[in-house]
Amino acid sequence: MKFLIDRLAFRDALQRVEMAIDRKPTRPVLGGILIEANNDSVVLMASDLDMAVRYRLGQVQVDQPGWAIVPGRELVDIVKDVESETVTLTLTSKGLCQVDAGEDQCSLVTMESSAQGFETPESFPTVPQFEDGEKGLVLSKTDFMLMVGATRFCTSKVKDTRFVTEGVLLETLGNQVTMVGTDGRRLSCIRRTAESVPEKDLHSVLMPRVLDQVMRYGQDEEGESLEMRFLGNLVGFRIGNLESFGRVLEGEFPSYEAVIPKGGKHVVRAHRDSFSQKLRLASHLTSDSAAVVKVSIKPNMLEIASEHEGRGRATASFEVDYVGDGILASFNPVFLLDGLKASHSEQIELQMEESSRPVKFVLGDDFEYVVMPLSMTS
Amino acid sequence: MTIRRLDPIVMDQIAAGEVVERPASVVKELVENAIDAGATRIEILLREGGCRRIEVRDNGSGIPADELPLAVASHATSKLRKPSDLEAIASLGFRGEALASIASVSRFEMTSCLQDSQEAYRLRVLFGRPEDVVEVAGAPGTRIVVDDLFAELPARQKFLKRASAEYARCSAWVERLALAHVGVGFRLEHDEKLRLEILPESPLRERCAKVFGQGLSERMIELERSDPMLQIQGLVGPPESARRDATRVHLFLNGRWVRDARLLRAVREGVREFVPLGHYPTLYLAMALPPDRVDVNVHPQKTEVRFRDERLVFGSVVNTLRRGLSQSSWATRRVGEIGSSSVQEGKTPSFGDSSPSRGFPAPNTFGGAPSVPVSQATPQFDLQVHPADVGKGKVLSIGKTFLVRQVDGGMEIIDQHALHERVNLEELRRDLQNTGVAVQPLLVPALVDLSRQELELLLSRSETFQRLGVEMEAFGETTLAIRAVPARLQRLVPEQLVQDLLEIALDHRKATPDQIQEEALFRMACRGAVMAGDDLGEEALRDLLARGADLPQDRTCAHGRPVRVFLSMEDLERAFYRR
Repeated sequence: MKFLIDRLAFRDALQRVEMAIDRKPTRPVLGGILIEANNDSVVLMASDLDMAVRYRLGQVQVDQPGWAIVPGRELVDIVKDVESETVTLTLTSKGLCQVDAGEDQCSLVTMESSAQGFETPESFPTVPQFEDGEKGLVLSKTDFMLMVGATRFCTSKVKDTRFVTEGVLLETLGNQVTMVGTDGRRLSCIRRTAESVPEKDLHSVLMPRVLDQVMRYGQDEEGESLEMRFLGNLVGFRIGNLESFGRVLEGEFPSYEAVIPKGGKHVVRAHRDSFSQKLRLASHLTSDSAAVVKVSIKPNMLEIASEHEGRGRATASFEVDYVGDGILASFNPVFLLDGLKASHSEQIELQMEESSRPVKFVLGDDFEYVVMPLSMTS
Repeated sequence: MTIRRLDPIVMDQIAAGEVVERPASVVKELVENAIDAGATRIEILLREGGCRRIEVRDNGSGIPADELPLAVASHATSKLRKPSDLEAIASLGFRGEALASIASVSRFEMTSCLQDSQEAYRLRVLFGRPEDVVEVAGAPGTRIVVDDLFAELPARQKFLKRASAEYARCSAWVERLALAHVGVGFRLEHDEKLRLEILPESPLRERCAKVFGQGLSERMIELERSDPMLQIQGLVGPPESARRDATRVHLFLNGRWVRDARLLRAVREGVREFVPLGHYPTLYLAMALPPDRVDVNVHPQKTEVRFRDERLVFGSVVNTLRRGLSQSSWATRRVGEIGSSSVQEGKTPSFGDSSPSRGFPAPNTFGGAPSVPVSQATPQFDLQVHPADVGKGKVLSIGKTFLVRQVDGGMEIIDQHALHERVNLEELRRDLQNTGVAVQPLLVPALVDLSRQELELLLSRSETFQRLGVEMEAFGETTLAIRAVPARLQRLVPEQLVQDLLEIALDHRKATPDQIQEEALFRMACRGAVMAGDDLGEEALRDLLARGADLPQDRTCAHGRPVRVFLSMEDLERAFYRR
């Protein structure tokens, strides 16, 4: 194996697969990156068994095809730190992977390679392929990013895979795609139309790590759309040259439709930024991050009150569009701020039936956010 | 084989087993008799751990010659007269078994002389067979010699341990009795070596010094509770003197050393926030309550007791310990004073000597006004004396577990989980007392499958849990639905919460609702806390430290592990051999 490659392109590609390198590998090979050099392209792969990434680099000058599994973290760091414009990787007959970068030279011990006479990498986990011809779910990249951004923030933060709410639910009904995130205390739901859908409707919970990876690097990839494939208990994402795979979370996702209120007696229209600003002001005088603010809605006025025992109290109010009786409810300000931050539109709508029922915020086109108000004991 | 009535001597020897197990029980019985006889000086001389000889001399009232034979007869006592006396026992002994039992299993010799008399009389009993009383020379008081304990009973002798082990038990009893009876002098000799000497006039703390060691005794703090129904007086040692076993716990009830499993539990409960979980403190605790409120006649050894009003007693023990400890320097937050090298009892920190990096100015100290103790300043709604010193100083996170920062006079290392746990606990408690707990109802109830018994057990406690903000109800026969959780604990997972609450309910089946509530609080505080290894952002860090600064007690986490370790400049200089 020998190829010459543009350093920056190689660096970026390595960063994309880096997320799937096992940080504390149980087997050494899980901490490695598999490099495959074909006739005019190089493919990088990594997998920690929970998540796998494949990245294809075209227009590479391949002098000699071949493959090698090299220590992942080291290769990423080396390519990040050398300064030359191009890098040459050569697999020596002794099974060393030599990195030539201008005046600098490194050689890495491979874990397995074509130089040792192996046909294919045996110990490396299989990274699935996007088969041609099959029909996947295709979304515009912008829509996908919006949907993940609108749901990911309210998934459960407890890192325990037993809980399916750690992930984001993805459902299709015809060509309508729905994503839902919830931590049991709040829920966010967004709908978009797919460019194309598989024959069977989907219902899967996506692993947050893969979503985060796609969100981080998908934007820079070429192409306007993203394709998803469901392969058994795996889900694959393809944007441009990037293919990411992750497990689908098992378990019963809460039935979100029953949770989202259909509407409410009290409908308030408010400016997102004023709402956020007043909330932030009031939350300076709550005792901690799990604090309480009291939101009171009056005709054309929304008032937010808070109190920190031992520090003081605050009241902030601003003008809103509301006609009707006054109503008061307590909230965790963090939940409200999170929603407002994720909002797609500058004007938001708040719908409320009574102070002990879930409150719905409309934060954009087909984007709803539901928060359960707090109550007090005794 | 024919059935025959036992020889009375054999009967006595069998009965003796209940009272006289080993030399230590003989020592205990004889010394208690001496105390009941009003002695102010008691000498105990042992040989070979008491197996060879136990001699107890006192300067008590003495026994008249004609009563000597009766004293060694079973169920003969001067301490009870009529059945109703049993209801209110004020003396240490009362069963009338001890002397008879001891005399039946040893070579026993008792010499006694009345206080104002010139003649002493002696009675010898050889393994239950009394000889005649003879007149001898002797000083006022009683002297009892017990030789060759169990010599004629090989079966019992087999159970005796090495002389050193038997001696250790004997001396433990002497120590207990010496702690319990201030005003009585004790002198203990073993194999002709003086082991313990306590003068009659020696005060309690001096006695503690002899028993626990001088340094420890000086650092023990006083506990007190006065109530006509139950008086408590005590001394408790610092958290680092706590032990896994209860050997340093000395509980006294009306002058009697007791070892009651439930009382010990109350002790553990009272100190649980100050010493590591499962540890017992170094403790002297004397309780006095009217004799008719307690039954000591539960067990021949009288170390177990029954209370008429258990709740009052246990509750008072817990509260006395808690109150005493929470006012101690081990609990009060003192920047610059936490830690071993710079503990200064009784010194109150003032804002005048605090670092300039404090977040709030302290105008009340400018005019030389009296300083305000931090522990009193916190609960008030007063911005000016707020001691938050989460200032501009840098906080360094080490291994996502510890936080290090500079404080006045040195540096402080904080365990992030322990601090968060403590913060949660205090805030939950405060909420409970004041406004009530903020409850976060769940959008969709969390369903947890349980066995029928588990479900019933949890539901039987549901009212208590509800006060904490956990709302649950049955959902079918074997499923529990959690409808709401405390809003404060955002990291709490309902499914995990159910497991925790179930464990608590199982472990404390007979506990009162208050105890269950307390247990649940502890658990929730821990579960809701950040873990070691959790990455805290700058803001979360600052928030946590600010919340920590608001606490009345933040030295230990809810399990008694330390929250903060303070290294003074002196400590650091010493570490680098600059001192």
